[in-house]
Amino acid sequence: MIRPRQSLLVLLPILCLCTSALAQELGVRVIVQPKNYQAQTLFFGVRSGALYGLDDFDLLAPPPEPETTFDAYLRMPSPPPGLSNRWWVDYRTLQELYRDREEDWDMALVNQTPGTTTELHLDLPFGTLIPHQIFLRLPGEEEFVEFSPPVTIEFTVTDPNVTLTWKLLHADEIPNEGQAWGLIKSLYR
Amino acid sequence: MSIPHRHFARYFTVLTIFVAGLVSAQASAQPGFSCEGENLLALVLDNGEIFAEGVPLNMPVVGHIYVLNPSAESIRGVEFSLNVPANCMAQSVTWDVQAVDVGSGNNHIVGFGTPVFSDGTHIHLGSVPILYMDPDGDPASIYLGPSVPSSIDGSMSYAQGETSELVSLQPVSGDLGLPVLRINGAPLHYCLDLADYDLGVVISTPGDPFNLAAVLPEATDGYDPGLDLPDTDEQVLITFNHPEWSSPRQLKHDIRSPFDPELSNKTWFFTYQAPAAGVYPAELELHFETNLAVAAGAPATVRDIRGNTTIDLHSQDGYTFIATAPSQIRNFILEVGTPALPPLTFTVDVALAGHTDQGNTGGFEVGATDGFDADFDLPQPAPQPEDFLVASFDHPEWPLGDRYWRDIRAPFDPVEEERTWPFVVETDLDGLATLNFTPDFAAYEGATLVLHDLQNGRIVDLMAAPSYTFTAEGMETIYEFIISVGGDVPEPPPLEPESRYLPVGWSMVGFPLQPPAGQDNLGDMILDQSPDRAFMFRHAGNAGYEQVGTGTGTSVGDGFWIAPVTGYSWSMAGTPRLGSSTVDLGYGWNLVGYPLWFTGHFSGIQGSRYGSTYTWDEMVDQGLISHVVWSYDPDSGSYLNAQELEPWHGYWIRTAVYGLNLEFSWQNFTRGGREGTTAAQLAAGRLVPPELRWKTELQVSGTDGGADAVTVGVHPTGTPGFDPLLDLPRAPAGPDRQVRISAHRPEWEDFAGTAYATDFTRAGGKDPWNLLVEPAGDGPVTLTWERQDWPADLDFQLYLPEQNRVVVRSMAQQNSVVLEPAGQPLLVRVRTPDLMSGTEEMPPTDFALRVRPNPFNPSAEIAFNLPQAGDVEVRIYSLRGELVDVIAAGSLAAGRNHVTWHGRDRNGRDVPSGTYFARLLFGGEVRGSVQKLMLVR
Repeated sequence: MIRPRQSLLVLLPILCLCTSALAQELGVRVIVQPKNYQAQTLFFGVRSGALYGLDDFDLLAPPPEPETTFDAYLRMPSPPPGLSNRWWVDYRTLQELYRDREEDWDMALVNQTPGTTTELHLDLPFGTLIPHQIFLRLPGEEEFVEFSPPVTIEFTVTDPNVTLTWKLLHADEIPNEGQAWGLIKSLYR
Repeated sequence: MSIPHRHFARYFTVLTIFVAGLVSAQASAQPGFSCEGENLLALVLDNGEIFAEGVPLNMPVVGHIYVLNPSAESIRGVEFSLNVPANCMAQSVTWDVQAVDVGSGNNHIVGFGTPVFSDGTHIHLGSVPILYMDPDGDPASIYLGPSVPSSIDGSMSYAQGETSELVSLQPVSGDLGLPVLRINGAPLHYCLDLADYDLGVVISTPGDPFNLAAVLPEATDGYDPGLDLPDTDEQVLITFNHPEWSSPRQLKHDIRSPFDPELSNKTWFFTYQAPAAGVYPAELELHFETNLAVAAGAPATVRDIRGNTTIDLHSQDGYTFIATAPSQIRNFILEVGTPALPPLTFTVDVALAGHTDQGNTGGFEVGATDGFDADFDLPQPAPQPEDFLVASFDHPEWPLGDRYWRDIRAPFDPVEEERTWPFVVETDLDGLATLNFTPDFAAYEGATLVLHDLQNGRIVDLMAAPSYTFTAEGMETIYEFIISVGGDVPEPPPLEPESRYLPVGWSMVGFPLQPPAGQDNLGDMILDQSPDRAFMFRHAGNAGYEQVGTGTGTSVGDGFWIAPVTGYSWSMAGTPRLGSSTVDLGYGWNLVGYPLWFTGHFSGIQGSRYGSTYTWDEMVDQGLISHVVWSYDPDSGSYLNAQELEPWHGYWIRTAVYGLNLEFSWQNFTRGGREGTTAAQLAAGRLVPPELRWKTELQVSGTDGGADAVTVGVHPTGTPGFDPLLDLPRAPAGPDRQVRISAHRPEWEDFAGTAYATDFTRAGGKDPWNLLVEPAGDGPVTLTWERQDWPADLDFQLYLPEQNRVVVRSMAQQNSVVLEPAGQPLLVRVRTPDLMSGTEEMPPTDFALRVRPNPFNPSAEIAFNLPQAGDVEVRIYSLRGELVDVIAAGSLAAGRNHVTWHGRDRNGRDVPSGTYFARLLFGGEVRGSVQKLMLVR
C-alpha cells in the first residue's frame, strides 16, 4: 500500500506543446531506503546519447555483499548477453520515449526479511518533469500511480522478491523529422 | 693386574728416562750427560736405601726409576739432584723418593714415578707406581700409589719389545750387596729444542711439562711412531687427545705435517686434568714456549673452551684458570694458522606468554664432533611440571638426555654443505610463540639458515627474517623444528597462473604483483586491457560500493569487482611482493585482493591488532574474523566458500573488530615436503581433535541444473544459538530463481533472518540441523553430501519431520538421496541416529531383513528386498537355535516384500517373550543376514 507523506507534492502534468516541443533529458533518482538496512541509489530516465540497451550512461550493479539481506536494482529490457541483469543506472534514448510515448523500468527489491518498511526517495537530478510524467506500480497492484518528484514513498515489502515498475511518460507528440521537430533531431540522435 | 708383554714393552717405549743402576764406584765413573746418546744414571743402594746426590742428570723430570735392594726392607728419603740443561727446560731439581716398604727377600723392582710438582729445586713424588718383574722375567703388575708388593722373589730380566728402544734390563742379585739395575736407552726426548721443529709449542704445567705440539717435515697428521710420543706419564695432567685414533689416543708429543699458516691452520686438542690430590678450588696454570717463526703473521691461539677464553700465543706465555674439583678435565684447543673454517654459531631465543628460553646455541667449532662433546654440547634439564617453556636441541641418541642447550658440530663448509639441527619447543602455555634467531655467519657469506616447521611444513629463510612465530595450543606439546645451516633457501614460487581470463560479467579480482612505479592505477593494471567497456567497483566499508575507473590508484590488498562487457585475458606488469604485505581491514565486510602470486592457504595469513599477533585459526577462534571467506564464481554467478586463496582473485573477508590487519608473507604460504618429514609429524598433536571441529556441505541440485549448498558442522566456538562469526545468513536469492537450500532458523529471525548458508554448533550436542529445501520447480531434487571431514564414528540420519519419515538411515554409509518436494519447500532434518522417531522408508538392500516394530507384540512385519522374483521362506529361530516357525511366503516378485510373524510356533501356539531370529531363504538358499526380533508379551 502506498502511503505518500503529507509533504508529497503531486504536480499535475502540464501538457503544453510549447515546452514539450523540446526534447528534454530527464534523470530520476530513486533512493531505496529500507529500514535498518543500507540505502541503494538507482537512476533511470532518458538522456541524449543514451541507448535502449547498454550505453555509456548505464551502470551495472555489482553482486551484493555476502549476507546482504536487502538489495535493489533495475532490470534492463534488453540486457547485453553475459551480464547479470542488475543495474544501478539505466538511461534510455530520448527518441524511444518520444516515439513510444512511454518507457518502463522494472525495479527489483530483494528482501530476506519480509515486512521491512521501505522508503523510496524520488527526485530529479537533472531535467524537468515537464513534459514528462512519472508513475509507479507496486507489486500486486494493477494500476500505476503518478508521482511528482521530489517525493518520498513509504511501503512495506512483503515478499522476498518483488518488482516495482516505473513508468516515464512523455506528454508531447512524437517528433517528426519532416516537420519542425526534425530540426532538433540532432539533439538526441 | 697383569699386562701382556707387548704392553709392557710399550710402557717402556714411552718411557723416556733411561736409568742404569750402578754401584757408587761405577756411578762416579759416568761422564756428564747430554741430551743425546745413551744416558746412564747411577743409583746407589746403600743397605736398602737409594742415595744419589750431586749427580748431574741430563734427563726429564717426568719419569723415574727405583731400584730396590733385594735385602732392603724399605727405601726412604732418597733425593736426587737433577741438573738439567736449560734447553731441557729444567734446572737443578731434587728428586725426593718416599720411603717404600718392600719387605724382605730377593726383590728387584723397577718403578716409574711422576713428580707431583716441582718448585724449581725439588720434585716431589706423590705416588710411586711400581712395575716389577715376576720370577720369569715377565711384567707382573703395576701398582699405583706408594705401596709396593711385600715380597717378590727371583731375578729380573727383560727383552726389548717390538717398538721399544729399551735395550736391556739387567737386574742384579742381592748377593752383590749393592744391587744394580742397568737400563740402556735411546736419546732423551725431553731435551726439547724448539729450534729443531718447523713450528712448535711446548705446553707445560707444574707436574707435567714438555707437552709438545709441533710440525716436522717427516711427520704426518696421523700417528707417527718415533715422532708422536704417547703419553704414559704416571700422572697425566696435560695430554693431546686423539679420540679418532684406535691407539694411542693420548700423546705427549703430537707432531704434525707441515702446512702454510698463512693459508690454513692446524689444531691440537688437549686436555688438562687437575691433579687428583690437592685443595680445591685451585688455580692451575699453563706455560707456553713457542717457536712460531713461520706463523708470525698468522693466528696462534690456545682456547679454553669452557672458560670461553682465547690466549694469543704471540703475546701471552701463560694462562691460569680455576679448577673446582680434583681430576676435573678442562679442554683446550691449540690452533695455529689461518682457520679455513672459523666457528659458526646461531642462537635461538623463544618467547611465549611472558616466558622465555634464551641462548640455545648451535653451530660448529674446531674440536667439536657431530656427536656429543662434553665441552661443546651442553645438556639441559627437563622442564618444570607446569607453566614451562623450554627450547632445546633434540638428541635422544646422546648420553645425557634428550635436551641440549648447545649443539656444536664439527666444522663444515656451510656454503657448500648442509647440516641440520633438530630443535624442539616444549610448553604447556598457549599463545603465539616467537622464535628469534641470531646467526653469526659473518665468515660465511652466502651461508643459509633455514627453519623447517614440522607442524605445518613451512620453510622460513631466517637470514631474510630472523624470527618465526607459531601458535602454542596450551596443552603439553612438543613443537618440532629443523634448523638447517647451508640448506636450500626456499625460492619464491613463480607467478602461477600468469594471467586470468575475465569473462563477461562480474569477477572479483586482486593484484598479485606490485605494479611498476607510475603504473599503479587501474587503467595500467587492468582496465586498459579490456577490449570493451568494463564496470569496476571497490567496496568502501559502510559507504558500500564505489565505482572506480582507469585513474583510480590501488593499494596492496585492494580487491575489486570488474565486469567486462567483452571477456579478455588479463595480465599485469610488476614484481612479486617478496616482503610482507599488510592489508588493513575495516569492521564488517572487506573486499580484499589476494596480494600474492601463487595459490596459498588461509593458514599462511597472520593477523595483528594493537600489537598482538594472531594466526588465522586464532583470529577465527577468537572471533576476530569470520572463518568463511567468500569467493565469486563468474560462471555460476554465485558466491563460493573459498577453500584457498588464488592469485588474481579477490575475496570477501568479514571482521568483527576494528583495527585488524592481515599480513601476507609469501614464505608463510609455501609448504614443502622435506625429506624425513611425515604427515604424522606435520599433524603431531597440533590439531583440534576432529570431533570438536568438523563440517560438511550438503548440496542440492534440481533437474533444471540449478544447485545450492549449505554447510553444517561443529566448531570449538560454536553454540546452539546464533554465532555471528559462524552462522552466515543467506545472500539474497538471485533474480533467476533456482533450487535453494539453507539452514532454517526461524528463531534467529531477529538476528539475521531465517535462512543461513552455514550453521555451526558445538560438539556433543544432540540438536539437529533443520534444512529448508526450496525447489525451483515441481521435479525432484538430489541432496548430496561429503563426510570426509567427519570424525570416524560420526553418523546422522536425514529425517523429514513434516512426514515423520527417515529418508537416510546412515549418512555415513550413503552420500546422496533424491527428494521430492513437489514444488513446495521441504524441511529436512539432520539428526543423530539415536533420535528414533519416524518411520523409515528406505528400501532395504537385497535380502536384508528389516523388522518393525521391534520389539513387537503381537506381530512383526519382516521386510526385505528381492533382486528378482523367486520363492521365499522366512525362518524364525529361538535364542537356542531351535527352529520356531517357518513363514512360507511362496513366490514373490522382485522388489520390496514383507511377511508377518505373529509370535507363534509352527503349531500355532504363542511363543513366550524373548529374543528370536529371522533368516531368509531365497530359492532354498540362505540369503542376507540374520535379524533379531524382540517379542514382548
